[in-house]
Amino acid sequence: MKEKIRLNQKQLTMLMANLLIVKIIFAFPRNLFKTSGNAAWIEAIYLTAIAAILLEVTFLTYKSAGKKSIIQLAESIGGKPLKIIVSLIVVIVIGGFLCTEVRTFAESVKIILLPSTSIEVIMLLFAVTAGIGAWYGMEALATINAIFFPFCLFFLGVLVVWLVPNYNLNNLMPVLGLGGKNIFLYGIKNLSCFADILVLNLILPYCKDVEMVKKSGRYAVLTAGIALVAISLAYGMCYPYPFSADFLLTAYQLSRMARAGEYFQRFEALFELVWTITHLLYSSIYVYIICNVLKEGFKVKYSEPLIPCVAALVALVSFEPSSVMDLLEVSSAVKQIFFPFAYVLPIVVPIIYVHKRRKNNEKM
Amino acid sequence: MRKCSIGAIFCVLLLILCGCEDGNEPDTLGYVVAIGFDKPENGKEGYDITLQFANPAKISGGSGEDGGKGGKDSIENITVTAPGIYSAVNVANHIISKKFTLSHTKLLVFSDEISKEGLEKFFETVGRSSDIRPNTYIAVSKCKAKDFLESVNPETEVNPVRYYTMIFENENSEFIPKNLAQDFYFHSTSDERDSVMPLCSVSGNENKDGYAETGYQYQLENDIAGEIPTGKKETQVMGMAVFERDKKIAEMGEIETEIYNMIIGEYKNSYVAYYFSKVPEDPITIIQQSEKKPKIQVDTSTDAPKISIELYVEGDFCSSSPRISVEDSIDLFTDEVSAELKKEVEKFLKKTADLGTDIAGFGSYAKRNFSTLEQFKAYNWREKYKNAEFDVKIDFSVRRTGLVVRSEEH
Repeated sequence: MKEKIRLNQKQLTMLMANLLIVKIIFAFPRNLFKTSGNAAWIEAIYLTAIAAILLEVTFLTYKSAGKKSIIQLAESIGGKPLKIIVSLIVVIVIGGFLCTEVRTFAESVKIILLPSTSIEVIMLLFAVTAGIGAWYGMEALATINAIFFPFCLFFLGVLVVWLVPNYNLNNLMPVLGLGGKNIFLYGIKNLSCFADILVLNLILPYCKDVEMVKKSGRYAVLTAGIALVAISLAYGMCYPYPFSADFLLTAYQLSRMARAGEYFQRFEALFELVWTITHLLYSSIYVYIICNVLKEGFKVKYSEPLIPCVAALVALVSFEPSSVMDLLEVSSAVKQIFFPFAYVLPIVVPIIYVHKRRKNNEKM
Repeated sequence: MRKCSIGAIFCVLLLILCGCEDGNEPDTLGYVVAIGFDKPENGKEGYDITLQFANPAKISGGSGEDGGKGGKDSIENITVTAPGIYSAVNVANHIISKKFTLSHTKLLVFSDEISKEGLEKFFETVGRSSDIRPNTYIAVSKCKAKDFLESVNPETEVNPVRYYTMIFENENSEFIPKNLAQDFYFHSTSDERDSVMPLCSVSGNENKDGYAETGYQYQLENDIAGEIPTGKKETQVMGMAVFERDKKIAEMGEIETEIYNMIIGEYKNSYVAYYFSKVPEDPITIIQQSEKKPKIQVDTSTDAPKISIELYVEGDFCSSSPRISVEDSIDLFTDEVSAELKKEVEKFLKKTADLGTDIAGFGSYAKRNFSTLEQFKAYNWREKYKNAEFDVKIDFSVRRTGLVVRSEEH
């Protein structure tokens, strides 16, 4: 990454909101319904609250650790070896999220948009496009994202309002769905939906102002939380449980239901446009970040030559699951294994760093 | 050189990124507008599946020099024997020189025999397919589904899809339930409610004599499709098939269907003839409407759930008796209408409880009394509904009298 990324608050907020919302609105609510039944919206509120608390805890470490990413802090703590280890962990974590999301997207495109096109072609086009996007850099991506992403949010808002005649409040009953234990205990595993907030820490050193980063993080989590609760409520009121836990793509199902009289019934065409562009931006941003983490971790001079390799690697790893059933299993496992790192690293690494600094000060 | 390379790459991208691989020319597609399902004759396996598809050249504005004709010419039918919807499409693709698509399918018609056996596997396809729209209409045919589809003659419509829309989604047709494929898919495996489907048929020659002895829809028969005397052979959609999960267990006539629509809150308006004790020989016709959804409460504190329903109905006079002024006896008329309506609603609800099928969806209100789905399942709503007690209240009022306000002095 450049020494300074010139992103304004809106761009940074929208960028983080994209990373969080892309999976939250398109496929993720299914997991909430599987865990909590029709009480998915309560779990959504609960998860948002926990994510917000964890984010605030992370922000507390900024005070003592300064404007440094966990990779820089790892170098200060344990030198190059630790920096490389932390960099690899970060790459594996966000790479894992990206790979599962890319394959889910490609499979969904094949199911609903391009049934005759082979999945290899879809993935290839997607990887190439993500690579080209990453090549243009963070500022270009953030600028385009800041222009486009508000339309995505607007689309979501319109969809939620449009579906009001289809809402059946009784679908949300019994209010606790599959029970409090499922919502508040087993539901924790779904905290993976906010795990992308790790990216905020990675771009922290390159932003001008810590306060702006904090504000953007808060707004992004709030926006994602509102979107998650709204989509869970809308979907839960339109689709009764257990069917709500069966459908692969939440927002797609909702857009299929939306209609205005007998003339305008194919609202999913708009969904497909919004969905594709947000996913391409999401993937490009992640490819860019992975390349820069590798660049920083291994002290490579330029990150651009890494982009084709990373894009190809993401596409290849994404191919690993042999079917959609496999993909869902792998995706669930990857998220559950990796998401704790996304929350723990930005808290634990600064604490160790501060502890070590104190020790060194005491010695001096 | 650099510009040429960029140009070449751009041209290649134009070719590969435009999605032509999945493109279809409209004139290569066969747009299936309705599908009929029958049991094959001679005890053969599978189903006789009739695909009714649009013939765009015959639809008004079609490829002919003077546009299309509409009516029966605008649709064609093909029947194949296959184990399921997509197998039938596959077979039909080899017979008709079109690639059939279900993305414009408006109606699924099941024969009576198939609907009694169970429809779960058909609706599994409906739920899974991205082709079939969630708002596809569904119906049970009293005759063979093939005969019904072959008799469809959209005389007043040039577009066959619009014909089905006008028949099945007309706000003024309260004699059929407005149930869509997706709703049936949800309700047929639900623990909280059962489902219904409109009945359709081709009109027969035999007509019933006399009319139902009810004060509500006075002097009107409680017909189902196929029983309405029309004088010529044509399709009819009226009444409803009642399901327990995915199997048809009973039929209800037009009057019961109208009551059903009122209870579930789908009723908009219709012309209703009422018995009035002051002039038994003259039905008093009102245009009846329901602007407010019914208020439903379910008490599950005992093993016999207590269901209270309050219906909000209002009416304007359309025709009255020339012998008396109903306006002067409006309170008596209102009381009698309320009593008749209450009697019909109670009769309908008693019938559903006796059948053990909660088609009105009271189970979804019962869920409010439980905090978890496990508790609701343990209550065993389906069984308990058979012992349900009903408390019906009717809030009826006459609002307007048409262009005339008569009084006794005249």
